[in-house]
Amino acid sequence: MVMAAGIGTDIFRAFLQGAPPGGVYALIALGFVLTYKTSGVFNLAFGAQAYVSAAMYFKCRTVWGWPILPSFIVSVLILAPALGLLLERLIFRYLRTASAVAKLVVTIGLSVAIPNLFDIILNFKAIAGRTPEGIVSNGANVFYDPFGVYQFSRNELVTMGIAVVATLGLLALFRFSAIGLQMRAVVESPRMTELNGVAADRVSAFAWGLSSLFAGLAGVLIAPRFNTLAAADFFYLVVVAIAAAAIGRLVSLPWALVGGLGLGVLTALINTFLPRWSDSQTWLKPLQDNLAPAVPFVVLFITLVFVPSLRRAKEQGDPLSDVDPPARTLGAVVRDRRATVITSLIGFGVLAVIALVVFTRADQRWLFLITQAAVLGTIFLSITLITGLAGQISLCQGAFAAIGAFTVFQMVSRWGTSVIVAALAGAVIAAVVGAVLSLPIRKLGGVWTAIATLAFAYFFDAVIVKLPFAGGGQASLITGTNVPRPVIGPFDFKDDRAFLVLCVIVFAVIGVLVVQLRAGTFGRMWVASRGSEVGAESIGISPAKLRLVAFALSAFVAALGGALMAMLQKNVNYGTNFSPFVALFWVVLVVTLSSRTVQGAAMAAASFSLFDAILLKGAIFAWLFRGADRIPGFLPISPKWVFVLFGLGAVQYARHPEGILEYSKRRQAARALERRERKLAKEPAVIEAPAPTPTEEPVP
Amino acid sequence: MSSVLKVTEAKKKFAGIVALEDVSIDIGQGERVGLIGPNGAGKTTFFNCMLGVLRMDGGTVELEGRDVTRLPVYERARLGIGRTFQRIELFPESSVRDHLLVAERVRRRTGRLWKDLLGLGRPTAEELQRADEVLELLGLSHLGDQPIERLSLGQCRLVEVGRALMTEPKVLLLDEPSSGLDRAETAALALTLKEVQAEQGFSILLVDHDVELVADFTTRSYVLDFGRMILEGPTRDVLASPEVRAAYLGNLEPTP
Ligand SMILES: Nc1ncnc2c1ncn2[C@@H]1O[C@H](COP(=O)(O)OP(=O)(O)O)[C@@H](O)[C@H]1O
Ligand SMILES: [Mg+2]
Repeated sequence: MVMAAGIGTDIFRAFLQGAPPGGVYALIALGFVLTYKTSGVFNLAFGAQAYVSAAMYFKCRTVWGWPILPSFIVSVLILAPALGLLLERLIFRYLRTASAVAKLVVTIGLSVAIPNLFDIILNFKAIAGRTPEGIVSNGANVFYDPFGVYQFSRNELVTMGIAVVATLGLLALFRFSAIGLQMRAVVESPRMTELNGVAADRVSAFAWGLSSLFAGLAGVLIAPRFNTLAAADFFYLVVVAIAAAAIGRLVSLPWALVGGLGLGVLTALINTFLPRWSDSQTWLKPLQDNLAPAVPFVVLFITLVFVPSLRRAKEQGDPLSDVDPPARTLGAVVRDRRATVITSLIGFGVLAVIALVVFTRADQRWLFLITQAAVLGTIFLSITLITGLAGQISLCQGAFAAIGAFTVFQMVSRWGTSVIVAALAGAVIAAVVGAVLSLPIRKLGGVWTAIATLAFAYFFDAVIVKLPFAGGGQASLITGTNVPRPVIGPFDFKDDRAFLVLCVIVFAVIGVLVVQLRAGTFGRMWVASRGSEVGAESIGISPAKLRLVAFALSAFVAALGGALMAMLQKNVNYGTNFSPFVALFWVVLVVTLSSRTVQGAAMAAASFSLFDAILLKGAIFAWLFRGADRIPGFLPISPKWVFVLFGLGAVQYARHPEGILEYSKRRQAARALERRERKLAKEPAVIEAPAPTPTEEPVP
Repeated sequence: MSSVLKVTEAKKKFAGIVALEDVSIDIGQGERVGLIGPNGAGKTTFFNCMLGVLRMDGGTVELEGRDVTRLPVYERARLGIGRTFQRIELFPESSVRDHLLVAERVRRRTGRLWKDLLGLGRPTAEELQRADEVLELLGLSHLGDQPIERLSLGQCRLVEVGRALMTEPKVLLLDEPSSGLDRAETAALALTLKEVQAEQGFSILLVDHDVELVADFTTRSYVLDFGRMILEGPTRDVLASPEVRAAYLGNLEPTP
């Protein structure tokens, strides 16, 4: 029958169509597995490495007008491996003994820092609507049709060719070279090789260089498919690669290859067939455009939940965990009451002065920035809850916040609901979503929780945001997502000062609740469980329940903050405010400063909102020198420095997961204590022989 | 004597290695039972199966006649299986007292989210008192406020015992409690455990390499070797048996 033949052809065409992007996914997945297996680093910064090569290539070709070959050599063959080696040498070599979660956080920081640092150093600016044109001339415009069903562009053919060559090269390297053999040994059984004394540093450095080369290749090859070069798109790419690698359970290189190709083909298949089905099934229509890009995330999530060997794969996250001595753990907080009281008094004093200045002097722009800080602070408290207290890395806080914002927009525009009621409804919806989300992932180990939530964030981004009843779909594109300010009784919060007060009150109330929670039953159970999950279970604590409560509460708080954010800007602004890559930076900020304390959330929010205006644009100098005209000439500094500084700041998470603020506080407290003990005893404080560190993993 | 913990034909494989092969055990109320065997025999694996940290490939676990084979770890713990770990599983951010307090709160089941939010979740005077009693009992009173970091391995083991005691277990599984302790500490621990046990009447299953401790502490013993229970009987007889001497104790106490 014609029909049957037609379907056969379509499937074949989808395979051909899916092969080139699948090849790129496979390249990244291979590189990803390589670093993961040789150094135990779950490298989310892989996308950033791909971005650097792609941007460099773009710069060489488009801005400097270089020919193809030198551009390729510089950006892929030189820059990419160099970057990998640099990362290994400067950062990851020293993190070998850190927990898998700590390393993950470091790479999250890097994936924010690296692209921005590159942009600053090379003064790189993406040109809207333009990307490099591939590595052959006229690649997008010359077509070949070997089978008579699908026309390959020259770019696509080259992409596939390179993917094949790179894979074969990797195989040959593994088979025939000494370092390749060592690397294979490490990949297959890291513990054994380490014990046998293979030079782990050399192997790991080589693996980093090589995998970074793969990232660079993939970046340059995939770039023509994007509209404009943006680091966020490349981050998306690495999530796709993780999906591909997860299919191979992150241990198998061949399966990672298959996974990459499979994802490409599956996406193409859906792109081919879904439009046809949706002709007859109208409910599919809104999903049609969004489902294909969401395929990797759905696959990733399902793999995580249903492949049992991934589920409890805690030690897999850290292949060398049994070989090296475990990382130093955090001590309990030893605090001096008097010092605490004094510092908090000083803190409140400073806050009062700031409040006074803001209320009497601030103009509209400053009011906006400060209100934004208060609102972000509320959102960041959700990270304090989930990461600081419950010890889970969640990368979908942006989605939770967006649920709050969208609910307000929808309820107000559809039914004219009171803004406050809508905000609370949004928070409740988010809490339910958070609770439900926590169920399938309740058994995932640390790193995998992060990845599953990331998959959810991207699924939300690709599908939910575009549904008419959620993100508003077409309607919100045309008329915008208008969100009004609330009116409570006699208070109309259209006034910016009044709204600031409201936001500060919300932040303060939630902050107090977080503190209460920390001291209460749940707070103490979280401390126990993040110290040793099995230890906590052995006294009757249910980890699933802890996780559920943490996710629900955290989603509630995030959504409340998201709703406030929408009210502040009178618009949801999903892309700028809540998209996954933005939310990634939230986590970096909070975790870098201090994820354990309310103060940490406040500082992180202030940094996000005010760092640029106060420091980089020179407001502080203007104030010090009493005149805007006396701002030193080197200002304003690029706002990208914020991302670089805090992104790199996340590196310290591996050593001090409690954050910079908390760490310095503790060190001071410990010193004070030591001094006092010495004074009391007139001889060095008696400290028992230190125990071998009791836990497997330092607290995430 | 009624049975408290009864495991029937437990089986466990790890990627081809048979770690446990039809291992059965029966512990009566108030009994002190030993479990010995060379390194890698599967003792810790057996503990993990009893508590549910590992899923068994076959067999059943019964606690006071109730089948708990399918229950998760925390429910078995609440039903009365307490345990310490060979590789310490303390909470590195908690002080010694906090370990006991959180266990006490969980045992009482009085923790509620709304109470926490209203600031009513802090330890009560009663809870503090009971924690201090147990600290006193274990001789840890002077260390109550110390972080775990500052304790010796032996003290860490005591904290694990204390944490398990707070749950008022019906049976307490001790995984090599004497490793890391010196002679005096071991003797003190044995004495304390006997006292507490006499008072509360729970049963104890002790895994240990210290033959003296096992001989002194337990009345009955099992011997596990390569995942199989090869011997069972009064501890005196078990320790004297030629199989045990040859396979396990031979190198420790060379016969003249
Ligand atoms: N999680 C695991 N994965 C694979 N093998 C394991 C695991 N736990 C224990 N084993 C193996 O099971 C056997 C029994 O170990 P274990 O129960 O720790 O012995 P014991 O406590 O008697 O010294 C050993 O061969 C050990 O290598
Ligand atoms: Mg053992």
